Amino acid sequence: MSNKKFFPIVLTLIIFILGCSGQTQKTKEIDVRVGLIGLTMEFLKNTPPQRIFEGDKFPVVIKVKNAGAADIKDKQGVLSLAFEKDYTKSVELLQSGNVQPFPESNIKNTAVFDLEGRTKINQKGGEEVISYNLVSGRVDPQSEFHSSTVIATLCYPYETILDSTVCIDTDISNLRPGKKVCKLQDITFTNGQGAPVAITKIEVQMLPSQESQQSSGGYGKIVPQFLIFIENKGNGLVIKNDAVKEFCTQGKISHEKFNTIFVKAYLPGIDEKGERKILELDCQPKEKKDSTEKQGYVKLKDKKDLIRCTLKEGIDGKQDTYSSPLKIDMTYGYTQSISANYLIQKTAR
Amino acid sequence: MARETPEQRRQREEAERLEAERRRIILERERIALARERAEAETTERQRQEAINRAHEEALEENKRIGEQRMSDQSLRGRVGNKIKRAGEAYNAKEDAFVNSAINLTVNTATNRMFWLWFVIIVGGTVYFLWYYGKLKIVFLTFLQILLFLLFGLLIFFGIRIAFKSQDKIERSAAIFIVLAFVVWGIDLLPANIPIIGDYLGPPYAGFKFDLSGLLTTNWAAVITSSYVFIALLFGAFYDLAKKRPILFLINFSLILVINQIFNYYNILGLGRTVNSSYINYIFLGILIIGFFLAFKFRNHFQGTDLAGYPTFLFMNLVFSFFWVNIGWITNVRAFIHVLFILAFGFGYVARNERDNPTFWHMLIPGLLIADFYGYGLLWNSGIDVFRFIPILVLFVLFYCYARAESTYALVSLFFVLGIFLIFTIQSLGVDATSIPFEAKRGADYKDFYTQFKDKVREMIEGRLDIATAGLYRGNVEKNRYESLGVYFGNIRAADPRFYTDEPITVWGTLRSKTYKDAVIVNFSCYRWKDNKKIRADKIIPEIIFPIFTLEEVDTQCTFLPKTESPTPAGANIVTFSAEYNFGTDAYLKTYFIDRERFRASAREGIEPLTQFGIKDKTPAAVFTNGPVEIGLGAGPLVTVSEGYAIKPTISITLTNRKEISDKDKRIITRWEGKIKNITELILLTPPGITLQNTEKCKEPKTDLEKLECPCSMPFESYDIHKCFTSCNKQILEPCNRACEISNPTKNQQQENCINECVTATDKCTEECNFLFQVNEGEGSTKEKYNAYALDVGSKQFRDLNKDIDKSRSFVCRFDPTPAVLDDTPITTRYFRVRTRYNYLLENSVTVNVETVPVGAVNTVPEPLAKTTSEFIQVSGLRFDGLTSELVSAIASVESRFRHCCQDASKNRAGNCVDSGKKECPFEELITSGSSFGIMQIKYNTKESKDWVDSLSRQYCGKDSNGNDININNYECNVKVGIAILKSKYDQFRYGCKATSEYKSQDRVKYKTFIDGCENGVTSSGVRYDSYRDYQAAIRGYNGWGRDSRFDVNYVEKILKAKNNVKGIEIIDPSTLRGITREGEGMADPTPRGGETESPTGTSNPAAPANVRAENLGGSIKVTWEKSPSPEVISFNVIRYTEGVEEYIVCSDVKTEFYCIDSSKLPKGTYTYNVYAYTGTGGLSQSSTQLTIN
Repeated sequence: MSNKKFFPIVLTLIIFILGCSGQTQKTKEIDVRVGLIGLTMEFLKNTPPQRIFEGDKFPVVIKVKNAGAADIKDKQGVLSLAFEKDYTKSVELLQSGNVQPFPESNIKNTAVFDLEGRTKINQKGGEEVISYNLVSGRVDPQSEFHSSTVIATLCYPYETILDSTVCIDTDISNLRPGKKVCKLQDITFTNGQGAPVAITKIEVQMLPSQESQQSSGGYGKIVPQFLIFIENKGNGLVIKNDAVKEFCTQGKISHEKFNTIFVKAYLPGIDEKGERKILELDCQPKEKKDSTEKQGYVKLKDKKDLIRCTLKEGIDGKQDTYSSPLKIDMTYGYTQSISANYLIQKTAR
Repeated sequence: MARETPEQRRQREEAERLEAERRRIILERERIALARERAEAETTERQRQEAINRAHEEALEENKRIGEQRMSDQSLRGRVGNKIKRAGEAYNAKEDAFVNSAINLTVNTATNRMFWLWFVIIVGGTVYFLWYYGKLKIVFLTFLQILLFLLFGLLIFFGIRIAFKSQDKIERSAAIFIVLAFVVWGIDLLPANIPIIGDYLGPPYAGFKFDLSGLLTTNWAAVITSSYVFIALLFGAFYDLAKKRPILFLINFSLILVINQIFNYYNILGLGRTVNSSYINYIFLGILIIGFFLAFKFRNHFQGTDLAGYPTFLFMNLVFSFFWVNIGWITNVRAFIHVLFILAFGFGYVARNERDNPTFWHMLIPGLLIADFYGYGLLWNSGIDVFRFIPILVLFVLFYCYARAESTYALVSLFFVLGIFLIFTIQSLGVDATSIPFEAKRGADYKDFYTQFKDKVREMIEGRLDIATAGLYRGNVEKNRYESLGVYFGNIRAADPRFYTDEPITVWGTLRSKTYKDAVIVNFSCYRWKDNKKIRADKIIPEIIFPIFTLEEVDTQCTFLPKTESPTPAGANIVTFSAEYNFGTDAYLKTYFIDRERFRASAREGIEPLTQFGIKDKTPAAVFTNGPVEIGLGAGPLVTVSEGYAIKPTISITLTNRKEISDKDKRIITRWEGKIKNITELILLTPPGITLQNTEKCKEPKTDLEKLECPCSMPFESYDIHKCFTSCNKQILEPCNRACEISNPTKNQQQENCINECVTATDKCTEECNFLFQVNEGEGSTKEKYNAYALDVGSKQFRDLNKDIDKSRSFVCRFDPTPAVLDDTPITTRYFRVRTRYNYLLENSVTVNVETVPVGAVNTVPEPLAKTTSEFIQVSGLRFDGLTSELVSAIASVESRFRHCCQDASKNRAGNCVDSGKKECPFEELITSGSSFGIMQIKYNTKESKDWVDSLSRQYCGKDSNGNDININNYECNVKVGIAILKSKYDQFRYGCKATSEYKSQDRVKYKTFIDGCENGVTSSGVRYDSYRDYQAAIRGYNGWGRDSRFDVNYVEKILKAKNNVKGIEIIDPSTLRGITREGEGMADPTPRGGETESPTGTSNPAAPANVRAENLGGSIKVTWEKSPSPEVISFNVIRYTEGVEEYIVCSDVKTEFYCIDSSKLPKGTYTYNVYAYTGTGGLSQSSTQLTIN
């Protein structure tokens, strides 16, 4: 084939193919709400040192990183350092701008801090180093060394937010002619939402409202219902968001404070007044406080559970099927611990 | 003059013009000719000049060549000259050496040697100073690090050099990529906190975690329909078109259309790329897997066609697409660099080298990408440390480049990298990822790299030092847990391998004590068992109570004296060493405390608190100090705390008698028999906030109900720090001082030192009291104190149980934890402590062998001997001055201890003959030294001696009732012959040895031994042989005049000493008499003239046993020798000697073997083993060897 013939053919093909695939160009957006981690913490290398002597002052430094998408504000993050009092003379928290001692009492081993989550600007998330200076105590008289332990416990309030698109299918029975713009189906999420507690799946159901059907000449209203599957994907423990401080201190904890996540979900719709606005879904079960129902919540069992949220106002059945944004907001507390051992060695006396 | 006409004028002017024209032409010709000549000249000149220049250049070249040649020649001449010079110098040096042996170096060699000498001194000195100041390791490690850096830098430098200079294109490319791989590796190793670029590079990289579920659930539709796949297929299609491969073109083109349709379908669903529809996804993945499987399975069908490499081409693009879609890695700069390098290396080097084999590089490039991204993770999870640090990328590049280019540089680099692995392992960088398949793994940086390096090298160094310094560099402290703290006996052994029933039994032992705590007061005793009853030793060293501080060893001794009323029975006797001493053991138990409500709430949620708090030590065991008693503690491990309790938690304490201590390899290092004699103190210390309630109810409960109100199974009472101080005084200071006073009764420095040690031990005790009760002592102390409770050891309830605790004793207490025990943390770690003091009775036994005494100490001279002697002397006419019955008795005692016939024919030696009481017996039963027989030890082993003895027997002994001659096997006859021989010796030597004809003959061949002894024989006390006269000379002659080992040089003195112990038939001091024994072989040749003759014919001595050796087999001694070359040797005896102990016949009558086993348990000392070879005619020779037992 000569070049004269080859190039026109190639040119034609390029135009043809590019014409077919016009939608491939998309601006890549950075999604910070991805991942299954909230805060992470680790002891800095060689802190505590593996081997120290009696009476030594030694550092215990914990690096806390917010690898999730939510911010820790208002000094809500708490880090508690448990050590063996019998073999530790003193502990001192080194304060810095973001790290302050626990405000409510003379607790020296607990720090509060703020920590920014991942943002489009700061894609790695905030990082804080919390330092303690400990002074080792004496080893038992006849012992040559003692293995001591420090336990760092981190407690913080956190939030999982999911923005998704769901198909609001107003023609459940597929009676209307024409093609629907979207199809009703379950949505799975494997990548997480930038938090240790993740929504793993949403099952979408459209429930016909019988009462309204009769009153509006056969079309009636459709009540969208969402089964939201929630799972604790992190290594820590989910706690109630109002029990963060208690968990990191000696405070008494009741079992209600464990594994409790408050859930709010929003969907655009038309309210009772006929105004189009973002409506909060009714999520069940609801927390009962003083015999009044408050907020929808989930109590995780074996680290997972689901919540059912419905748009009570419903959607006019006369509308065509459409895609609609769905926002889910979960608030909870989270706690996790790490421990390290070090050896106190007897000094020559 | 005529006027010129115009015509003329015109003609003239015309002529002039022509003339001028002619001249101009001539001139022009001349100019041209001149120019030509000049040009020719110039050309000629130039040619000449060029020729000159050329010649000049050639001349220069020639000069240069000549110069070089000259230099070369000069150098050669120089070298030759130097050689000649050096040879000359060497010759001169050699010559000088003859003149002056102190200087044999030439100037040059001296300088070189001086340099190296100084070098060695400086290096050695530096090493020594560094070692002295403890900096050797640091400097050595730093040096190694620098060396490593230099080597690495050098490698990169050479790589760059090869990349620029090499003529070989393949080698050049290989060097470029190897250098780049090293650079990438270097970037991998940069620490995250490196200034400026650290933040940009991010954390260290160890690849990405391989997540199978993430891989399966990734959006495969997105992978297939990615823009990358589209572009790749498009370019593939163009390329195929250009290469005139229409089928491939069509396939690519069709695929583009199909993918486009899939893409549209996905967009219609509105799912985008972040939302998976699992079923569709799995379908896509399934199609992909099946498609590739089929393509690979049938790839041979397409061999040789354009389609052969197509499946792998698709595979490659799908892998790239996977990483294109899951773009999380791109945020990590280091990972991005890896990808760039892999693509460059893959397409720039591998693809070009594998042009003929596209399938290979289609697989290799994505394979390398996958291996680099996930290989680290997989190797990391392997659990094998060395795998965690393999730089896959670098190793792959090195291997491939070496395989393809056979580049030496690649090989050297490979060796370098592999060489590093032999010392340490490395890891590299890590990433943050935003998409699911990229969960970053954290690697290590240069610091880790060098930490690893240093650790490995340090291990090597310290491992050696540990051996060289017996572990002192590391310290001994942590090893103490495997040492036997407490008091123990060691090396208990009998003083002799065998005792006789009438002998004292002495047993030795070493008492070892090791304690870090109180002074140990030891009460040592010793007893032997008889019919299950203890018989205390008669003498004990040390006899008193004595204190031991810290680490001491005391040698002990027990002696049991023979007693008439309770003699030591023959056989195995058990002697037990016993030491009663005070000792203490401390223990602590880690326990976790948590608020009860919190615990219950956690339990209800299925949360295990210890796991939740990341606690690794979930079942802490009690830690106790080493010693004879083990303390076990049980509580928790997690104790819940609340205000009130229905059932209180308990803590149990068990004291167990250990009886053995093992090392870390579970090998028993000390074993003993013992028991806790009684507990003197047991303190339980509970952390602040934990109390034992109602301890006052423990005091003398009257009813069982009251007993139940006591929180413990045994009475405990409240204890405080003041009681602790008092206890220190009572338990340590007072008994210690008392022991000091007992062990050092007089007030002297020793006693003062001892008391000072007691004070030190008490101070230590009070210091420990402070420690036990305090929680923390520093700034901001909460001033919390431990609560303490003491076992009421004097209580009625416990008194009966508090004795001879052979196995264990347990106590249980219920305690009340209050929230005060909790810190301001979710979980609190506290310790229960227990301190005990007790008296321990340690016992170790040893078995001693006691044998029936072969001959006992006798109080009177045996009646037959006394009678025979007195009668015979009277009637025989053999009397001479000095011959008394006492003398004969003394000889009989020293020679045979009055034994004549032995009970056992096989035990007829001095060491084992038990007198049978018979007065006549065969020769086999007669006590013998081998050559001499009977009570008087008459020599009867040569023809000459036999003949003479027989004649004496006939002369003095007469005949029996049967008419047979009575011989020396008859008791009386033996005595009579002995007296007769003594008389003959008297006659022969009464005037001294030098008065004899034998001496006067000076036949030093025939009378070698006699003359030598006569001239040189001296006793241990310095009496000369030649000074003996009369009966003393007779006694000397009875034993012989020799002075070697066959003779007893002190024989005369021994006989005289023995004689002094006999008065009539009375023996004045039986045990002294019994202790006087003869050494050597016994009587010399008794014949009147044969005593000291050398080897008369027929009785020649054999060659001595050769190569005698004694070998300690650990428990027994093996004595070996070589077969005697003398054919007349028929048997061997082995006799053991040691100083101060009677000789012992180890083996007798050994005939066929040439070894003997001495299985006696021998104490430390030096032993001489004599091996005697006997001939059938009485010949004898001996060799010996010595063995020292440490």
